[in-house]
This record gives sequence, C-alpha cells and structure tokens, in this order.
Amino acid sequence: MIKLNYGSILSPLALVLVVGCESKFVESTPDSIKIEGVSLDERINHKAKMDSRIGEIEEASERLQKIIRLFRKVQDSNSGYGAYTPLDFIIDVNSELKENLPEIKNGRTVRKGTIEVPLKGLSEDCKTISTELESEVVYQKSNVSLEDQKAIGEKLTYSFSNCHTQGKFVPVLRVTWIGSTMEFKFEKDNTKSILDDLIADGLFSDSKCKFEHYDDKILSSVVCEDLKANLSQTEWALIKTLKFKNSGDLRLYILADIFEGDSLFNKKKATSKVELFADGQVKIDAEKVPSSQ
Amino acid sequence: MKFLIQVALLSSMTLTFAACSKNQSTDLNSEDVILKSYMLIDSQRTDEAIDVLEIELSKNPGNQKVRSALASAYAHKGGIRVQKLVSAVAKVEALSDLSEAVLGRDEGISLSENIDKIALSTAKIFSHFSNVFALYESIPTVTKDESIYVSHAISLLDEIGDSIPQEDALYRAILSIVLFKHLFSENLIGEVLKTKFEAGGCQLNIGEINDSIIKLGKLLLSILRDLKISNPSQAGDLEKVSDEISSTTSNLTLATSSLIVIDSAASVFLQQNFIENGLGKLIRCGGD
Repeated sequence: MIKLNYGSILSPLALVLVVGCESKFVESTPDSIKIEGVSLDERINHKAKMDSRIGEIEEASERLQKIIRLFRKVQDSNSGYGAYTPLDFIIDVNSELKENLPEIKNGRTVRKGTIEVPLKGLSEDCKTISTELESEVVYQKSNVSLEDQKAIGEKLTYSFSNCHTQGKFVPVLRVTWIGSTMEFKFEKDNTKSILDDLIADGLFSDSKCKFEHYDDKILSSVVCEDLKANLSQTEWALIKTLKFKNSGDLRLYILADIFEGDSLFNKKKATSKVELFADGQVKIDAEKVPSSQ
Repeated sequence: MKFLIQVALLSSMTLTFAACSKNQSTDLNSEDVILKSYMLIDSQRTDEAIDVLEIELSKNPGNQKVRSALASAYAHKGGIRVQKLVSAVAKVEALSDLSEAVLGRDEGISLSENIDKIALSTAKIFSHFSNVFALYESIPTVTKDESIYVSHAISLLDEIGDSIPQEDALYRAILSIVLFKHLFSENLIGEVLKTKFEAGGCQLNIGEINDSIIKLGKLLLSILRDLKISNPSQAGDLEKVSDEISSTTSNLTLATSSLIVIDSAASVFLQQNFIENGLGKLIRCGGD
C-alpha cells in the first residue's frame, strides 16, 4: 500500500482537508488486467522496459525537486516549507503503476491503476482517480505512410480521470525521449481539473523541462520554463527560467518572479536571480517591486 | 589475455625473425607487418613500428588487427609496457565489484539535512574511485605527454566499434584505468598551503570539480563497458553498476553545485575535506 506523501508538506488548502486522513492507492486486481492474446513473458518484458522509463522519470523528478528546494532555501534559509505539487503526485503514481503488469493495445503499452484520495469533505465519486500510463513510439515527422516512418523515440503519457472529468481520461503529463534527451510537459488545465482537491491553486502551470544526457546517461543539462514553487504559506515563485549545466562558464541560473497571496489575490513582490559560475562565484540578486505596482 | 600472450610469444620470436626482417620488402602482408611491428616494439623502436603500422592501416583501413597493433604501439610509446600490465590483468575481475563504491542515494532527506552527507560523500567518491581498483597500485603512472599517446591508443580501439574482440576490449579497459589514474592525479591531487586556506578567500572551483567528476565517471563507464565485452557472463550485473555510476555522477554534480550556492559553512567543510585528502586542485585561493 502506498501513501501519498503530502502529509508533511501540505499546502494551506490541502492542510484543512487532509488532516486525520490516510491516503492510499487501491491496488488493481488480477481480473482488471486484460490478456488480449499477449503472453505473460511478453508483458513482463514490456513491464521491465516501462519500469526502466518510469525509473528515469522518477530520477529526473527528484533532481528537479532538489533544484527547487535549493531555490527555496536561497530565498529563505530557514524555510523548510514545501507544498504537495504535481511532481510529487507523479512520483506517488509511479510507485503504484510499477506494481501492475501492462496491457498491450494496438501496439501501445498501457498500465492502469487507481488512486484513492481519502480527503474529508469530498463526495464518494471524487475520492477516486483512475490512472492510465500509455507508452507509444515517436516517429520522425514526414509525409510517408505509417509503415515507412522512422521511429526516433518514445513517449509516455500520464492520463487521469475523476469526477471533474466525467470519467474521461485527460492527459496531464507527457514525457518524450528522443536520443539522449528527455522532455517533460505538464498540461496546466488538465492537471488542475484532476488535482484541484489536492494542490494549492497557485501551483499549476504549463511547465516544461528538458533533461539532456551524454551518451553514457550522465546528466549534461536541465532546462525548465514556467515552474511554480511555494516559498512559504503566503509566498510562491514562478520560476521563469531554470538552467543547470555541466559545462560552460555559467553552471546554474534561476530567474523567478516572487508573488504573495493565494489564487484569488496575487501580487508580484520581487524578481529573484541566482547564478553559479564555474569558478565557484555565486551571485544572488533580488529586485523588489515598488509597492505602488 | 589472449592478446597479451600473443604479444609475449611474438616478442620471444624476435631473435628468430631478426635476420629475416632485413630481407623483407615493402610488399609484406598485414600479418607480416604486424609481426614486424612487434619486433620493432620489442627492440624499443616504437616510432618505426608506428610508421609501419600507420602505412599499413592507410592501405587497409578495415583491418582491425592492424588497428589493434597500432593501438598497442601507441600505448607502448605512452610508456605502457605489456609486462607491467600482466599482474593487473590477473586482478581485473575485481573491477566488477564496483557497486560497493557507489554512494547511496539521499532519498527523502531534505537538502539542509544532507549538507554534511553531501560534503563527505563528495570527498569520499574520489577516494572510492581509486581504492576500488584492487589493481590500482600495479597500474603504471604516465606523464602528461605519455597520456596523449594512451588516449590515442584508446581512440584507435574505439574505432573498431562493437565488433572489438574480447581481448582488445580488456586491453582497452586497462589503458582506460591508466588514463583514469593519470586524470585523477592531474586534475585532483594537489596541495593547498594551510596558511593560505586559513587566511580565507579560498573557494571551491565548481567547474573543475564537476568536470573532473564527469571525466572520471565517463572513464569508469567505459571501463565497465569493456569489462562487459570481455566478460559477458557478468554483463547484467555490470550494466546495473553502470547505471548506478551514471546516476551517482549526475547527482554529485547537482549536489556540489547546490552546496556551494546555499551553504558557505558546508563549502568550507568540503574544502577542508579536500585538503585533508590531498585533493587541493579542486580549491582556488586568491591569486591562484
């Protein structure tokens, strides 16, 4: 049984709803797995491949969280605050999905799971989030027929359905691998419709990140746009640009707008810039927005 | 190993063939050229051996045996004598135990809680990289100039591609360890005067640290790749170790960068650790 780990890092909104509750993912039963003529061995093979990709997603998510924690720490060295985010949710979902064998449909590998959200105050049909993780081949864009198209990569799409989507699965996160590059892309509106009960309103965004690796899987760079992170109970940041590089003069660069307020009232307080140069020099600049703005 | 035995046998045949070599003309076949080159190497005429093999390779670029012999000649020019490597080869299986050297992950621990762990681990990883090699002491040390020839020998073997024979892969692994040892001492080992450090103004050279971590990590991965080729029965385990090394290398670069940005106290602690471990080149003091 897997517990959502937002217990210790709750957003103010979720805090009210979650206290006293124990969350879990409901395990799939063997009956829910459709065989469809695919042998067990084949499904185990697909599972191993997908597990490996899920492992890469987890690792990348954790690295991203570390950089965000670094930024939070720079803004306030005493801050230990961190709200549950869509990234945390994906990490929790992965733990559940890895337990199940995939189905294979029309050449696509699909893994299913069910998440139970035991928040008080939710109606019964809103307590369940159904999950689908679908793997597909990415082809080079061309005008030739599908059979002649060249495979260049792989894509995993996380889709969810709940009471807010009327049972329809909506894509929340797309992760694409082409060569040694992995790209994350969150769909803000869909993420909000699924996780509205779990995550503070200010933390949804169309964020995207690109993780580049050397040929031997060693991380070469991380570049992200439009990441949101809470800094305290009353402040959050829109990280407009985040760059971590293992080459060149500038090794780390974070540019963010700092806001205060909640979803109903947001006010830009400052712009913050963090730079780390190859020679070890650190520059941290904060430019306050005049109070009249 | 087979390759090394071949080289040893060929060397012992030097006297037998010495008389004939003068009569051999330029229309030698590739096998003869290789044989001749080994005789030249054995007579300490390495440059001549390289010339002969370079010419042969330009005529037969697809002949991997010639390429492999040329790599051996360059390695010899880089100071790598076959005899010195025999004991190392005997112990090379110890490399498959690299997993013990890989650091544990810091899952679930906050960055601030991790400061000491990161600082210690970063210093320790370099020691691990060297200590893990049971054969490390038996690997010859090369100078900066010699390392260029060793690198070239490795790149020649790289050109053979996936079809590289097991014995050549093992030979390349050993050359890579020689290079690893060189990079380790060249990039990391150095002293910082205590007075300079205590006077303040020193800082961690993050570019140098991360570049070194990546260079050494890449070299370790290439060594493991060669061990997989030369020892297919352990390929699965070695693959897992390779993944761990890629992950650890990536996480270390991220951790050291984070450390420098957020915590000056931990940065000083890490500097002290580096100095105590003789890794002074990772620190830059005013005026250096």
